[in-house]
Amino acid sequence: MKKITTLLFVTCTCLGISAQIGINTTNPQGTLDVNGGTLIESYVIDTVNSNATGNYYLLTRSKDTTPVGKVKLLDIALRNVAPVNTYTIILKNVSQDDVLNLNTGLEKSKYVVAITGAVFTDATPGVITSTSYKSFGAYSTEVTSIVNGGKTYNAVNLSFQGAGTTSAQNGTWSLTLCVYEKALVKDWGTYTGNVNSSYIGVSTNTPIGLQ
Amino acid sequence: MAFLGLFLNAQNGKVGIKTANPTETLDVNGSSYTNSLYLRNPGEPDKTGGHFLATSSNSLQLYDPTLESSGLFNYLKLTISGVPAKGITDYDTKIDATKFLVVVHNYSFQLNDGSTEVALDYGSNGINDNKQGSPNVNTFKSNGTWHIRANFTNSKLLDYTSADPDGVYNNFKVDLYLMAYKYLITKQNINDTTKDLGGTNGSTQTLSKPSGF
Repeated sequence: MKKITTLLFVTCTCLGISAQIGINTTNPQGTLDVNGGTLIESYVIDTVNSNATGNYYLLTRSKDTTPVGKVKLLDIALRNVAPVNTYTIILKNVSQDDVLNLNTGLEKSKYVVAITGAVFTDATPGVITSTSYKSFGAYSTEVTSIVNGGKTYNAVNLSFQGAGTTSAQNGTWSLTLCVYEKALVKDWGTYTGNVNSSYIGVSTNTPIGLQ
Repeated sequence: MAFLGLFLNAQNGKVGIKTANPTETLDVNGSSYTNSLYLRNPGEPDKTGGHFLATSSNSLQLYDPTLESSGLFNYLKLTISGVPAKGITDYDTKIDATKFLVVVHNYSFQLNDGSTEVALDYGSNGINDNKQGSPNVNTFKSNGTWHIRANFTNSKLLDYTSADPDGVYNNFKVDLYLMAYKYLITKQNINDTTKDLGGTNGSTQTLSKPSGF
């Protein structure tokens, strides 16, 4: 408190007759004008926030500044990773139609990964030969995890479950990933349910936060 | 103690500017200008509700999707009817590719009356080829907008409301559940990754992640 009082007395010597305070400026643009950074220990209570319109940026609080907590623009043009990212992966010469636990290189601790499209080409899934009647494999795409060098990564499984391809030809999977920054997503992990050979069921373990 | 609108209260350690009753350590009854703002302890995160903050004119403002022409997340169901047996090769959604990232969450192929009795004929030849096509439902960018593809590779949709489909039915419907993320939170100009798995299932291989990730 003593420090603040001293600072304000000093600044008062720069004051004109208006009820405005300038720090490091003799021409304050508002009730308080700090020509420099402002560090706030606790809360900002802003009673006159208006709504953003037109071209605007979202704001973030940085953990990497000194001191910590600088309010910055979220400008995705200047960031390597946005909250939501997408890219396409083309996997050629796949063992027939099976991709199993292929490491995406994206760490689980940093990213949540979703497959938002997966098309199989260059070979054709056939009938399953091990069953006595004619059956086909179910199209399945899944994000799994794999541990490598002590870190856990997002991996992908892609297949027509056990179908193989005509003439055992190797195919191509083209998949689109949607990669979410972990800061935006709460990953609830895996939950199980059981419909006990009936067609209906009710969850008994839905997280409270989702109810 | 008052000083041209500056009030110091030594009893409770609070300073008010243009207010005699400061409610916080510093209470400015008016606008504040600063070159940068640091929040050492901005308080507990909101558990529910609250607003995201945004800035359009150098001030802290509220982000309110209801006042915007679009939200950060935009969820929409798109029903495309009059779809021929070959499915959809290119439907222009007219959603601006410079402003949004569009992904397909779910989809459903139906007859025009909403019935789900839709089968697939691989090779589109009316005979059993012992093969199945791959679902091919996704979004792609073309001429500045998002387009949709919805079909099964090398396959024809069949109406099997009768035991012996004649393959003539040509009026399907596709429901698509889309999410459009606003450009403010997306990155979509990431190069494709191509990898030759060398005839394996890739279980011992690692893809290169996009640069910067």
